[in-house]
Amino acid sequence: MIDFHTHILPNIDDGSESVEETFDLLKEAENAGFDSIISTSHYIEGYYEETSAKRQAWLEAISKNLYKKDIKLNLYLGSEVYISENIANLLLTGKASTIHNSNYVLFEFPLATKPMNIYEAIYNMQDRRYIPILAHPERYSFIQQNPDLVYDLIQNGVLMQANFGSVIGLYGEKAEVIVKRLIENDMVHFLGSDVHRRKTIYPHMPEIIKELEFIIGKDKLKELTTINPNLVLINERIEVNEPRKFKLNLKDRRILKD
Amino acid sequence: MKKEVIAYTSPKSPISEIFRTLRTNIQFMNVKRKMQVLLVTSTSPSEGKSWISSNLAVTFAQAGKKVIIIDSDMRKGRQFAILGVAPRPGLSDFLSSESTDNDSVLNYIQATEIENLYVIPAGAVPPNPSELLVSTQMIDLLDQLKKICDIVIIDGTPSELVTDSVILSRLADSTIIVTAHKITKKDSLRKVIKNIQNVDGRIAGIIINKLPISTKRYGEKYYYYGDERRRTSRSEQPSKSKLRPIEPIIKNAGEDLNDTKTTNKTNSTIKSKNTSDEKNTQEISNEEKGDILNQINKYLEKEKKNNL
Repeated sequence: MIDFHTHILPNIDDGSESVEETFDLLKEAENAGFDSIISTSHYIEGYYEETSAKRQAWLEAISKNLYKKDIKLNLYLGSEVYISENIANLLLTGKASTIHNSNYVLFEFPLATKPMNIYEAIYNMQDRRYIPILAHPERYSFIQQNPDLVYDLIQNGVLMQANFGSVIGLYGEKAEVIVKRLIENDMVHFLGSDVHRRKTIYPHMPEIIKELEFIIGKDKLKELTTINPNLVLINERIEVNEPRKFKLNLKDRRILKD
Repeated sequence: MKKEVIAYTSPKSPISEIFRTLRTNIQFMNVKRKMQVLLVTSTSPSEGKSWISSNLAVTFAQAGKKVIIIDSDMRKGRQFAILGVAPRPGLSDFLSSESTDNDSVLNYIQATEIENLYVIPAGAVPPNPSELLVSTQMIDLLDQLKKICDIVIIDGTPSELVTDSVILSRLADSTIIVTAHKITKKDSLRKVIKNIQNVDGRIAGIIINKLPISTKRYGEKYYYYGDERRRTSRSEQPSKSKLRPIEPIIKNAGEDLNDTKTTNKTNSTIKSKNTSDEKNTQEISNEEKGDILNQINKYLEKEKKNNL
């Protein structure tokens, strides 16, 4: 099982705040059943701007010393790039990183407002043959109000990474409703913990796995947590199922309304 | 390449069989009059235009015909995603470009992983799609394509909403209207047929899509289908490797001469902007590396002491 979305590097972004916390998080990840972790520190122009080289150095140094704390994990470099028209440029110059040097890029939107130039920015990436993956679609308020946007994005060649925690409501009821509908309708391609702090998400993993197995079954879950991420790591195309548009039932709509 | 290109992913399924029947029907029409450019349209969105045109194109390609599929939906075209190619350069880029040299069209055609099948994706969303389609560039494009391939399939827009496809029906040799079972309204269909005939477009026929399969009537085929599915699921691994390999990232303008003018332009601006900071981002100093190791060692030592 591969954790596709984490903020484990110390003092790079708003994730881990010390080396100690980093090692604790990695121990938690191993205990939760992960064998590989992709480090996806925020890259936000003007806020978090540590270069790929520096993050790579951190990752290597941590990897080398994992055995001293009796942790067995493979660590891979990536980043969670905040959307901007400049995004392809950030990747080309080695400021932000693609996932393990592949063509796949994890990117995020602002949580509360829908940026105007979504499709332009996505085109810019695809133009350079990057394959964009949107981080936690279920968390954006404009997607909660208009989930069809996810369908449109997928049809435009964007892949989706949902958060494990959303499934059991760690990001609120709205995110929970949306993530479940997305998962049921083949609109999620990867899952990640989006871990920032100790004892937040990893201890809940058994419960989450159970819930996910109930919704989509073991095989499909393996596809999202192991098969697809592995294809990304070896830079091969993943086979995308046709997403299905869905209608929200009355209960869902009531939750999403207020 | 998406799984919905069923004529390619499971060529022996009954659905693929139906596409082959469709191909045969169209080829028979071909005898009476020349039918090289085929437009696929519908009344409203989501009736299955893109699905039918991509699968029909694949079926023609499988018969050894050289096929080019044009995604003329410059607003919401998704043919690039279906066939797994880059979204640009596309039709809108070609139609809005000023160059008219004869070989330039080749720069806009992308090969797919299916032999004989080529695609011109929709390209960037232009402000004026309908106007682009009436330009002489469009006529030139079709003339050029007719010379280099056997069949051109145009994946159109819904005719009731926007006029793009009605315009194109004049340029196409024939038009196919896709309808969806129990969704398409008779009145809308009538209107679309009239609109196309008003501009002298010729209609080859109507496809009824999304028909429910009755298990009773097609019991035999169901067995066949089940059989097919078992076979494909067993050979799932090879089907993965059939996917087209990912193309390398395009780094700068000089390396990629085949690219369009528009991308070249953006490439060069990006390049000039960044040469200055490129050096500091690619590497970090040994000092910094040492500092990172120090921080980790400090923590490990502290932990060791705590454990003692």
